[in-house]
Amino acid sequence: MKKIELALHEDFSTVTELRNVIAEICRRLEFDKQDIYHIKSAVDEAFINIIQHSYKNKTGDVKIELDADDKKVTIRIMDWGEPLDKTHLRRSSLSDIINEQKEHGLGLLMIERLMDKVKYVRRKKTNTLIMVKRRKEKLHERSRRT
Amino acid sequence: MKEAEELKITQTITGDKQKIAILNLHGYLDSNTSPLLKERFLSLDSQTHCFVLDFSDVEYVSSAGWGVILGRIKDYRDKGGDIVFVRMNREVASVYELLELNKVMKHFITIQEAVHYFSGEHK
Repeated sequence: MKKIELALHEDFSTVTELRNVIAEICRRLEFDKQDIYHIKSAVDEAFINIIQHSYKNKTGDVKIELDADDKKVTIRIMDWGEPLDKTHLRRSSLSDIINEQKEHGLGLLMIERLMDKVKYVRRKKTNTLIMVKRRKEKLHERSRRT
Repeated sequence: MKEAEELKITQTITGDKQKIAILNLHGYLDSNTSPLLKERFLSLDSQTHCFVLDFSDVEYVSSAGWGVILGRIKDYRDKGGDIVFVRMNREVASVYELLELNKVMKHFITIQEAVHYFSGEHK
């Protein structure tokens, strides 16, 4: 088990560096290229959601923990802003977004589609988004079992 | 650490009866850069409602990037136009499919195919 913690106190401009750091960590954890893209995208979306909705476009503290083993990586993203508005959990459909000419509403949908498990917890003024990405089974491991 | 991840957009207007804007996007389409694409759409509004987005040099697209595109589609389709994609890389295409954007938008292998779509040959 490998555990990595990142502490941030920043704004939108940090998202580029954050994506690069997450991608580099996932490369070292030997995730494949597509999974790395999905994990950094999910972290990007979660981070932007925190800045826009939890901290209302102001700066604030964000803590990211990554726990990785040979089967999966679990990412916990914590902030101490406003609780997640439950109406944001009601996902917009693509046709709603197109017909209502909305430019927002895809972030949570993206996180759910890109990651294997997603859970939001609010406890003692701390928002925690827990996301799990399972590793793709390597071909040689699959063939070894058959 | 990489330098800032930017977006550059170059455009070509083609077509005789039907003007088609081919936008070549280069770089990263995210919350920082997506306003550039929105500005480009708006600046071309008086010329065309038909857009080919050449994604061959796009490294990354966040929900803000997809959102700017989805936010324009209805308006363009109502006016007889559309937005289509060309040449997404594997990673960007994987998100395009996971979001099921492939059910509501078109993705072509070549710019020529995309232009033919607007000129009515495949419509």
